[in-house]
Amino acid sequence: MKLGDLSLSQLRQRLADNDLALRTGPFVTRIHSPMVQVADGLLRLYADFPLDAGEFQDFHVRVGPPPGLRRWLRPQINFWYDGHSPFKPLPADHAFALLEWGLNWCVAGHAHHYLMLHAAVLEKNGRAVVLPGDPGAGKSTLTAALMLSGWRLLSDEITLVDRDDGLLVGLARPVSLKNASIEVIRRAFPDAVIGAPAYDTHKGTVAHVQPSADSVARVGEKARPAWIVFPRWREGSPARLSPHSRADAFLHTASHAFNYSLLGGLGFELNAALMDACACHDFEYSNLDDALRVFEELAA
Amino acid sequence: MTPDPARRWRIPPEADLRHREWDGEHVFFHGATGDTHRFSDAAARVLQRLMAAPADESELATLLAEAAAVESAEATQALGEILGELARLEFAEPVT
Amino acid sequence: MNCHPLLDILRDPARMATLDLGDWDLLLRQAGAAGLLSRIAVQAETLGLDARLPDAVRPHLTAARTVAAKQRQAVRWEARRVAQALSDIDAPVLLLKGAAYAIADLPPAAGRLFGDIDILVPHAQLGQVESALLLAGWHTLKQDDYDQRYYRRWMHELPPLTHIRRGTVLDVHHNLLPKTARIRTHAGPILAAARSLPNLPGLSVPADTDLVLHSACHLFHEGEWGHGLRDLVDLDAMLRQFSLSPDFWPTLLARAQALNLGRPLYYALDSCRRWLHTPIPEHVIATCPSRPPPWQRPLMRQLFDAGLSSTHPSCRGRLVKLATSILFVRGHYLRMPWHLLLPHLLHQALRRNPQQT
Repeated sequence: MKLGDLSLSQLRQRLADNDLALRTGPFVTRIHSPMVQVADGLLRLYADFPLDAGEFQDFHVRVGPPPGLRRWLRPQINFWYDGHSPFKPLPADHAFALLEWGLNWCVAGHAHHYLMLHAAVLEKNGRAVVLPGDPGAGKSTLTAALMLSGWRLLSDEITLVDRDDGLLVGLARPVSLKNASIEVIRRAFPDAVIGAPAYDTHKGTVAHVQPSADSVARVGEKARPAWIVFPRWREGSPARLSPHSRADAFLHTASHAFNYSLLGGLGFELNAALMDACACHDFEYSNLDDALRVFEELAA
Repeated sequence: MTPDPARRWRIPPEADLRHREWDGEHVFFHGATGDTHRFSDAAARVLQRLMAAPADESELATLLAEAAAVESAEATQALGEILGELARLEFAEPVT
Repeated sequence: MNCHPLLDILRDPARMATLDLGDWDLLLRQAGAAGLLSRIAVQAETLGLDARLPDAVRPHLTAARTVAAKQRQAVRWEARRVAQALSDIDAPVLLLKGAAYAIADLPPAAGRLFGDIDILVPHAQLGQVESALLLAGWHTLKQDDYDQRYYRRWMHELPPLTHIRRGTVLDVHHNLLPKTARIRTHAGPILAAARSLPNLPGLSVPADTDLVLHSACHLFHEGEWGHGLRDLVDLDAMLRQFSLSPDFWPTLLARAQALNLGRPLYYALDSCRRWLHTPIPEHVIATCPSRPPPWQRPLMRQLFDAGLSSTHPSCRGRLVKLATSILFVRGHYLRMPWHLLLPHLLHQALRRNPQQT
């Protein structure tokens, strides 16, 4: 059964009753929430995702007001991981964004059977591109655009590397966009389904793009890494790839990874194997269409 | 610390060092501290030699002198700086 | 005592092979909240159970073992740095608790998670030790004068030292209990009985009986119960292993008497037996020095049980919140006389930092 098979009111009921378990790639999450924003966001962006009817979930989360009297004083909500709250409270309007951040936190904080890099990853023609990105470099815009032009999305944020075979594992969850990039994507892809924005978050305005049906359907397929590309949007720049030192790429991915040091020698070996498997590039661009063309050529 | 040709150096026990090289650039990982560094060619040679077995400063200086084709005095000076840095980062230590 | 299936597994780890997915869902959450997930994960590996466990469960155990292995490596390395920093001090420096278990490869170390490093030094050398540590980069974070006074005048330890670069924390003790505590004990015998560590010159660990007594003392006199069940697991692991020596029990009781720690030992033995089914001969508990009068035992058991259950929502009874507060106050009560305690608690309450590990 898929989440989209439920009506909005059925979904709201199940979320309120803590009776909804969602599968995203290798993880099953039980989601508990009275918030209408959470139900709306899930129905809009996760309709293709399978529900899980089993007895075991990897994560148990709640998005909602704190228990007790405080809920009446300020309309603030929080993210709870099995009864424990790792974040500061947020306004109710940010409920869906909070869920997304929370789901990322669940994976990044616990899934240490993978090496987890802070990078987007997409696949085309059997080969995957890893996009590590410094904030503000335009990685998310590029990720959304690549997905919307036919690349299979594995993740916009967390690259999961399987410790046994070095292949990449996908989550296929919505792509998070900030501020100006929301409008850029809307204009470039008018048919893209984008969730209701959350305004005035600590990252500015945040909205999420629905993952493509193909990405969700094929989330169980692991991907073979082939390129590591460091994107940078720069005004007036033609779209162009240039070589990037692999030692440098190693240091960058290591220093931005979620659990590279935690994995010790294994983390080193897995990251090194990734460098061995990939051609490393810098990528500058200003025009999205040109950028997409360069990537098409790369994947041909 | 002042150079001492007879002083022996080693990788600290339980440091769990790893090394890879791409296109002439050397990356070393310290398992116990979780730190990763890119070291110069000279420092990399010293570390790789120590990873094979402990060695004294005169041997390490000779190694550097040959690799860089320089006089031993210059190599000894460079070695002093390298060992100081490696000690500070806990990649190497004098054998007590 | 509602903590199932966690308690069943702590008592008999082999039973992990019999759990269904619903059990595992609850077990992983209870164990995670109690800081014991890595421990049961290591036990699953030691017993060769992994292959027989459900596919969905295995990654959680792999991840938990990865975390524990890293922490063990990190605490061993940090202990090394402490040894180096104090290499010129001519006095015993004892590792306590987690760090002691990790460096000396004692039974509680398997799958344990570590936080601060605790060391015990003679009171006479405290100034020297503090100076040496400061030189090596450990310093007290900015604390107001009140906190400094509290620690230095009344407590059995310095204010926590944080390393300026690494952020690791070091707690320097000069006794097991504060000067102001109702039960007074002495550090001298513990320092004298310490065993040196061959792989870490300059550091030692307490004798087996003293490790047990310190763990008991810490658990039943401190105010914080977040790690209560974990500490009980440490005790259980030590008791099971150490009691293989034929003279362990009489030595333990005699030592408790000598150090005036019979009361916390009693509570430790009683709780271990009830919660973890630790095999403890009846006569050992019955003849424990300073054991509480029979009328006191049910109430203290209730309070301790509530504190030990406080880890996960599925384990808690209705009275836990009250009980945990009583135990918190009790913890402080044992550490400070009332006329000092109330002003201190007030001051702490005003300053509460919501961050808590």
